[in-house]
Amino acid sequence: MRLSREKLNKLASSSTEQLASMNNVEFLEGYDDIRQEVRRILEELLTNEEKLDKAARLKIESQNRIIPEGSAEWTILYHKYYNDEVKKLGI
Amino acid sequence: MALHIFLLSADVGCKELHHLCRLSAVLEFSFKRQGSKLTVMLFSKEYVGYLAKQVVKRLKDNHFIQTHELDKVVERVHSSMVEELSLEDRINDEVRVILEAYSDEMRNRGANYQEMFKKVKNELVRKYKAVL
Repeated sequence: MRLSREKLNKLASSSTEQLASMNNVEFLEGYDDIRQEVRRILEELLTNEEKLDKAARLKIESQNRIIPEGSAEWTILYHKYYNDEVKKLGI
Repeated sequence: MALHIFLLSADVGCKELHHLCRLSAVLEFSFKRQGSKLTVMLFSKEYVGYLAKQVVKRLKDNHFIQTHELDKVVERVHSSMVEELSLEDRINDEVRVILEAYSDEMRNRGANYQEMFKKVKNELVRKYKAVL
């Protein structure tokens, strides 16, 4: 996963806080149980996200010429290929 | 604060390297600014939208939450996730602004841009109690 454990926890906490602040959301379980479930879901999804990142990098590497990572061209291609992979998820 | 850090760390490095580092950072900054509507630091906005949708949907399907306005809830969680995931970008932008303000002084003292960037960034992370 490309996020640290601390960042994952923070993301789960801020998402749960956001849900708790909304009038149109009713919590059917305790706050901590929901936060832990959000964390679990995010961990699962973000573990699979690595595949999108790898696929985008592989596509860039398979070009005829070497495109240095971090260059403007690399970044543009990376976002293009990455989003192609995201679309495959059915968004 | 930035000036204080600057004075503490104004060691002399290779001037050519310093100028290259600075130029590279400026170019990177310009590029990121142009693309800022399209991307969040690590993940695309589209992917974060997918994350938000999946989290809310799974919480609802597994009876952790109840809502009759799924789309609105997804939208709010999406915004919250984008905010959290773009925090490092916003801090980086702030560091660049601070360093830009001291660019002449840094050049005169031959300070290393990358080292300065790291130090100022660490200060801001502490200041905002940010988790990166």
